[in-house]
Amino acid sequence: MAIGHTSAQMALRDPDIRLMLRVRDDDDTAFVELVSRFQHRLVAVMHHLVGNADEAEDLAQEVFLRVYRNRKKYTPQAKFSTWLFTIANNLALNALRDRKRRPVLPLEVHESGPLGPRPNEAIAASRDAPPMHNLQQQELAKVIRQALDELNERQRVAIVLNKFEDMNYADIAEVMGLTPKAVKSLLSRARGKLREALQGYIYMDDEPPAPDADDETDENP
Amino acid sequence: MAELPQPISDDDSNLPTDPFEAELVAYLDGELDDAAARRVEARLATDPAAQRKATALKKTFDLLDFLPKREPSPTFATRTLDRLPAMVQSPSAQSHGSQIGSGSSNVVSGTLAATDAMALNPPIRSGHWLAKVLLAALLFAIGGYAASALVGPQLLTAPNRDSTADELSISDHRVVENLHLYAAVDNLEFVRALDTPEFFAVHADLPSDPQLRPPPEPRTPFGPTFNKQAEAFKSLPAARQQAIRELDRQLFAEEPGTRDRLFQVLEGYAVWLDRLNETNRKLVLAADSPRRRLDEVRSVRNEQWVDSLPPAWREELRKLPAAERQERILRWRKDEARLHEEWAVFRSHAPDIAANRAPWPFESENARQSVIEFMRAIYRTDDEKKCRFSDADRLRYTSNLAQANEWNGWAWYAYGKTAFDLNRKYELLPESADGKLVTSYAQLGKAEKMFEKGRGRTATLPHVGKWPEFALAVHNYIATDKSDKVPLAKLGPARPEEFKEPLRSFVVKELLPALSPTDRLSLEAALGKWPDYSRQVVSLARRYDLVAPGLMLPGSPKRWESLYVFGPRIKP
Repeated sequence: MAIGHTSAQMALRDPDIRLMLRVRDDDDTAFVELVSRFQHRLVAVMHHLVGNADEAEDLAQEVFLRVYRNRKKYTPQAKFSTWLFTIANNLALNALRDRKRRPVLPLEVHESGPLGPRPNEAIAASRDAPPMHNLQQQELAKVIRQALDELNERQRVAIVLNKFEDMNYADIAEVMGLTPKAVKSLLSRARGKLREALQGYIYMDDEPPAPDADDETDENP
Repeated sequence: MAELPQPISDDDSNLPTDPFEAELVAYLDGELDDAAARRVEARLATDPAAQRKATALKKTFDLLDFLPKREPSPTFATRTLDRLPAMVQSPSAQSHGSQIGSGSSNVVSGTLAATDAMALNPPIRSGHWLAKVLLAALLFAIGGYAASALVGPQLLTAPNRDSTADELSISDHRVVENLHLYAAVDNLEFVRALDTPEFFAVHADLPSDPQLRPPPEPRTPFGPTFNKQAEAFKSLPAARQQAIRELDRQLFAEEPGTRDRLFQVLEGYAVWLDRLNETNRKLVLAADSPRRRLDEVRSVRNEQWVDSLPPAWREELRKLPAAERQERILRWRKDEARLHEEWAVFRSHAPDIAANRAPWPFESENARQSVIEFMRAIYRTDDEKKCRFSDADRLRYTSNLAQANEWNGWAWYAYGKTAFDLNRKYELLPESADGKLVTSYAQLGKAEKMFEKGRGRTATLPHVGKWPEFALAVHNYIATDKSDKVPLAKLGPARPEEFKEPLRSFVVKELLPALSPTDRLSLEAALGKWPDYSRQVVSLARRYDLVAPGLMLPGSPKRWESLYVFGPRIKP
């Protein structure tokens, strides 16, 4: 008999689904474990999306709270992480669109101001590297951050999931409610924009930049 | 499914996509089927522009690796779990919560609870003390300079949440009530730093005048004061709100005695700030980090302290060169702190001292011997060569012990204080079950070569042959070393199964079952990390008032602390 994708069989294979099923069944230690297991990925992804540490933590926290609140409705379908990042995607997109609608003073302004949160963390993260190297890296990171911020929200989500969660197009499509074909086109535009924004920074170590003359010739097949 | 993907805007779908670029990106991502991949490869083989584009696409994508990866803050998991009140709440936090819910203002009820504990409970007379404190603190929090420094600019910031999300939740009521105390505080570490003799620690030898104690005040959670503070709180940025919530949560997770003491410290700080002149207050409030703020507080308090000296002393200071002046101030303040401490001990134990009674745990011969035996076995106090103490510390220890044995009675206090201080000063870390102690370079594996010369050698050489000093010196050096990491041999046990008995059983059978889910999580996070795991075991054992065998003095850790930390505040 062919193996069907019943929830029990999927759960047996995916430890994350097993864990979530325990959460669904009100096993509180399972939720503690779930937070412990996914907090690093979630905070990192949210930070890449919104670019602000506190907002990223707030959003990641909200994702976990929604997981907990909706635990009874959980039915194992695909990968658990896809479900988790679907929630994350919705919250992040809302936050980013909200920000666009009602521009606020960037929170970073407060991060080093009076009673601002954890001003030393940014420095602490790279304290092991030599200072010059650090400086160069920090500047580079700033430029890359700006390039990422210039992408529209959906492009940014797709790029971040693709790059930092190593998600394939099908999973990204599921998370974002798109077809894989739409994801392909979204990622292509996003990568193209990044290439334009960062082209001055990509030949830093090896060969000199290629002449621009024929770079923009018609590449259509 | 609970969460459905939201409808998407087509803000970018109308833009034309370069079909080859889309194929190229998909090819680089390994998303093409074989036939399509072969088509792209064929084009790449003949088209230099396409090759350059492929390289550029790949390199820009690789550049994203330079973005720093943000790790969750250490309290992230705890904060998240704490937002699920029905699930994870430490028992102590719950009990405080209910106490708060039924009492008057929590500062007041807290202070009264502490007063009860001290069995100093004369009828409280009504007075204006609290009213004045509250007025001052409120002015500080929502009016005057502080308003513009703390609340004001943030009021000007557009809220970054929906207005519905800004509605005050019930769980924030306590936070709002205490906003006047929290408003100029960074975090719990900052409060703890304030709770030192140098800053606002409440001296145990202060007279306990009931008139100085705040009178009970009816709790008005929805009065105008509350509403003003609620508005101020809601106007703060989300991150600052969260920081204040976290501070409140941590304060209320403290033992009642500690919590009440910290609240007294907060009150002292708030009133002090309120009374400062404009310039000094600005200096304190405008500091851009907790450390700088403490530096400013210290500097202003030093000035105030000097101003309070007798004229002749002030004159003496005035004549000194700046560096020497600072040194003299430090010395005088140290002397003052020591006198305070001695005086505090004397006042708290006057009846015992007068009757020459031995303090806890030295009342019985058995308990006495168990402490002496612990110190002997663990620190080799009976062996001049093998003893872990410095010569001066060993001398202090042996002479206190000799004196206690000779004089008995209250003389055991000095011995107990010495044993307690030395147990804190000379950190104990458990030995490995296999009996191997890392005390020499040869045991460091490949990392041995890092210590052949230079700073690594200097930092570790004096500790060769000593456990755990040598391993700790190696660990500390490697943690600060900037060169490439070399695989290091294991320095010590970092899991319960690696501990010797009876410590192993203690962790598995006593400590772990007692821990709240969040504490268990924090202990699990340290699994496999040396010396973090062992330190965490000791720290949690202290918090849960358990004795980790071989690492902690026999007898309740909380009792040891209440009696022997900075002079006793509360009699056991």
